Amino acid sequence: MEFTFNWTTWPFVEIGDLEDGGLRSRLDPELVTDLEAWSLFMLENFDERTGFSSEQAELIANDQYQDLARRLRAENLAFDTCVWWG
Amino acid sequence: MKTRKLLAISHNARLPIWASLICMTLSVGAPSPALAESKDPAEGTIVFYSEASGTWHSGSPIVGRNSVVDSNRQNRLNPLVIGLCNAGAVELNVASFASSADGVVSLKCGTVSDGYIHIRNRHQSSWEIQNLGGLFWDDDMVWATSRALIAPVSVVNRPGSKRCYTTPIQVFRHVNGAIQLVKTFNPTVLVSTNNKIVITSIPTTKSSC
Repeated sequence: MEFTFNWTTWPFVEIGDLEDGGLRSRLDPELVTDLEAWSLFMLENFDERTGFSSEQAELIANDQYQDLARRLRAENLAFDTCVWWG
Repeated sequence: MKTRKLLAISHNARLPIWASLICMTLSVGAPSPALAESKDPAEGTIVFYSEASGTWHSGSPIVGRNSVVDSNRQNRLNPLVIGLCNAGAVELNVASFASSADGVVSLKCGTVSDGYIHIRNRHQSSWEIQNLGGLFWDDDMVWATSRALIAPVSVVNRPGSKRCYTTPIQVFRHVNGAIQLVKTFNPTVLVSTNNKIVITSIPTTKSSC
């Protein structure tokens, strides 16, 4: 499983059987909210052709990404990171 | 797992292309290889169905794509175009789609950030899982993307001049003359509303719009 920006509101691609509610149901609700907020921040501040809207937006996005990865590890989630937008 | 008997009548009702083939066969007096294929799809053939648009798609064509014109079917992607994508032709058009909210939108070769190259880099393996190992993940991706855009069950505006489309796609497999429903997925298709391009297409089980 990869934690990354997918141009969606959720930074994971889930394609299996989600009858158990998927990853959202297994993570802390506050972390779920923050993952969704980061995805929305990326949508708002990253353009497919011109990149980040500002250097500050890039710094915020990448800092938040590292922090979210740390919190996901703290929940014992096995995942890879991928900063393809870097 | 549901099993549905493969009935020609029900297929014909949803797939006018077959009716055209029958007419063509009557006019020439002999069955074409394409029609012969349509009567007896190979065991294990995977078929996609979009209920919202009432259209079918097979990775291994049930009907000959070169002999029939149907706006609901996508021809296979041109390997030369994909070769040019590999060579860095960012703005080259790979496919065009009618969409319910954005008019005609294009899937371009794109870059690591968008378009065909982005989808291949980031989501090819997911598409290969959803098409059950079919030969042409990108043909299946293009078809499912076209269905989400023309017959979405949901269209959501997103920040940064983006719009997200989704529609259910059912995946069937031919087994012993019947088709079995294997699963349903809901691709997440994101469009840049100002550039009129497909940014990404992800075969999510549940839409991430």
